[in-house]
Amino acid sequence: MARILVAEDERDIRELIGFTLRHHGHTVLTASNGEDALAVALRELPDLVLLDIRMPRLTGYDVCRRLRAEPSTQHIPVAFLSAKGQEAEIQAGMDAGATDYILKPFAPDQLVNRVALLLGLPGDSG
Amino acid sequence: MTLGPGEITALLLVAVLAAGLGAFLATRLRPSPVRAAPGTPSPRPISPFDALAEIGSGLTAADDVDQVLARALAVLARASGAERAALHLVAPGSDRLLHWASHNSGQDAEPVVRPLTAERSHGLAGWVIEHRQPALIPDVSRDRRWIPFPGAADDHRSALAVPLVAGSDTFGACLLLSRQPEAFTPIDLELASAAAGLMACALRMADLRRSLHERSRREEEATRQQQADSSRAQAILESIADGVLVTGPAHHVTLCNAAAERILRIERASVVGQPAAQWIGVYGPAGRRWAEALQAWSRKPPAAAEHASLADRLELEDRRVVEVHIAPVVQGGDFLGTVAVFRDISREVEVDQLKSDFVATVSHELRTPMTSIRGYVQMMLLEAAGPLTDEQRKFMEIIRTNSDRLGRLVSDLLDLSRIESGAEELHLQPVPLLPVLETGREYLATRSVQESKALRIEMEAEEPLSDVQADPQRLQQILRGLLDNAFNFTPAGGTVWIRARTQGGEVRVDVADTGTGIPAAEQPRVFERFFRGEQALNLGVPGTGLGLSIVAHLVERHGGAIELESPGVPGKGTRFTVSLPAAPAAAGSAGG
Repeated sequence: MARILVAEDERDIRELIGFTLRHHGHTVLTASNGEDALAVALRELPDLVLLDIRMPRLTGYDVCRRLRAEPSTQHIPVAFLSAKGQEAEIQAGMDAGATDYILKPFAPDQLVNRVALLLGLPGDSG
Repeated sequence: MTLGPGEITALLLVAVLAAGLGAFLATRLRPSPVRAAPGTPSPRPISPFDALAEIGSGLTAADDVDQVLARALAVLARASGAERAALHLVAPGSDRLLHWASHNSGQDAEPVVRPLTAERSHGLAGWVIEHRQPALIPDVSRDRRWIPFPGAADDHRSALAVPLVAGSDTFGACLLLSRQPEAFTPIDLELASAAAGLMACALRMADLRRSLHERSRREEEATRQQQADSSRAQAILESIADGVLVTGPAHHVTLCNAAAERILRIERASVVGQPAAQWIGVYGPAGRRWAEALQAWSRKPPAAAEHASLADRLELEDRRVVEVHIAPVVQGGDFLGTVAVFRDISREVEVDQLKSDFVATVSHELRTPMTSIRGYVQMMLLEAAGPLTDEQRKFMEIIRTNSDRLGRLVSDLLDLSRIESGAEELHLQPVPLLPVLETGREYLATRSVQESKALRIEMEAEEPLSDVQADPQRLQQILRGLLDNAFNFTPAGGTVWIRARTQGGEVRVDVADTGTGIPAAEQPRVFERFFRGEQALNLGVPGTGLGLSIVAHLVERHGGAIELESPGVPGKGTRFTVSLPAAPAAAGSAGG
């Protein structure tokens, strides 16, 4: 399946996402802050990056912009995972170069479907 | 009576003429002849010349007309040898004669004023007043004009009467009486006429002086009143907690109250009299808009009906925020200036900011743990962590239901707080209603299936149906709120109606149900935050008590209205009616 980077400072959520994705056969890389996320992404060149917005050291916006500016990573789909659900906030995420914006709280099966969509894989069969 | 400059000149002229007349007559009378009266030739104690000179000097010296008249009467009596001299004045503004004063030679030091009145035409006085001619009566018993004084001893034999005439005014008559027959000579007549002229002048001057005085008193009163009004207005302006700043037609500051000084941190002395443009520039873009408004209003004074005004916010250097309302002062189409009112709203702005920050923080902080709870529960339910017993599955379902409810509560609360604070702008546009209703019907049908509660859903739209002027998403939310409410309170097998019609510039949407209804006592509270009726608690209807509150706020922000009708009887249900402004008529809007 795919190699997916999950950048999320909340451990429980990071593990939940990791658990869910692994359960569906993906390989999961994790980072708990923006700087690590950027470093891992640049080093590992994953198939997909899931980014929390509010993270220590470097925000999700910044990570996304840097990935878009880097030739080696600019093609990698990036989805924000955020509780910030106002129109303007979503717009700001898309402006930073995101491919998708997934609102918290999300149900794990929803997440799996969105991930499949982003990877161009057939939807989850359950 | 008002006194113009012309009349004041006349007054002076009268005085000069009076003095001149006195002098002239005095010259004519100077060769005071030795009297050869037929009766008892009594030597006169005072010559006519001296008499007139005395009366004349009194006229110019004394202020008090009563004193002048009394002196004149006494002098005249002495000079003419009359035993009694009397003055009858025409009462001002009436047809009555006032027996003003009499002087009894050798008896009265002062004239006696008697308030007796008679007809203006009464007796000898009446005759000379009416004819504006003197009368010399050698023997009163043979003259029918003679009518004795009421109450006085009728022992007079001869009389002399002269009118008090000045210009066109007749003030009264002066009477000289004697117990001797033929006591008065033509010279006495001339003397009395001259003296009467002087007395008339004195009366005229007194009249003029009185009206002059009255006028200046009224003016003083008016000025005092004006000063009192203006100082009261000033005090009121000073006491207003809001800053007030007034500019004149040429945009100079004419007034700046204490609150304006305090709020804007300016000194009155440094702005009053200065062109407003000189210092409003410091307020950046708001200052520019202000200056532009001043220019626009003075170029073309707005009509009062326009209620022209500029509401703006000034951001001061010390980070304070001042709300300003500026309005033109226009009178009779003329631009008189502007009045600006200031209020320091820094605190309100700060509280608003704190509130939105708080809402955003709470939003994030609550959603993050909820993501974990719901996510892990779902993973458990998917048996991703191993198989569940029936009991474990049941408990997990309970956790999920409640965490879903908690999630709804949080998002409703956030929604409400955003709507209430007006933080979220409405994107108003013409929205065709039918698709919205259709989506609503589908939503309800889906809930009905998902929650296994069979309901009949009826939809009726009266053609032609205008578009609604609304924010499409918010319009959906309004309908969904009403449908959720109907669904929650209608038992399985019931009916929910969605009806729409256009009515006088408004589009009305009804959502009616056959549910539990709302008791009359609860109806006024239905739109309160967190209010949940007795039924909701009894039936265990899910919900946060925020749904209708959000609907009501959204309707209000659209400039619409919401009302409800319910007999409060289970089964009879409730009907909510939302009225929203129809979109301005556009081609092809009706019917969709």
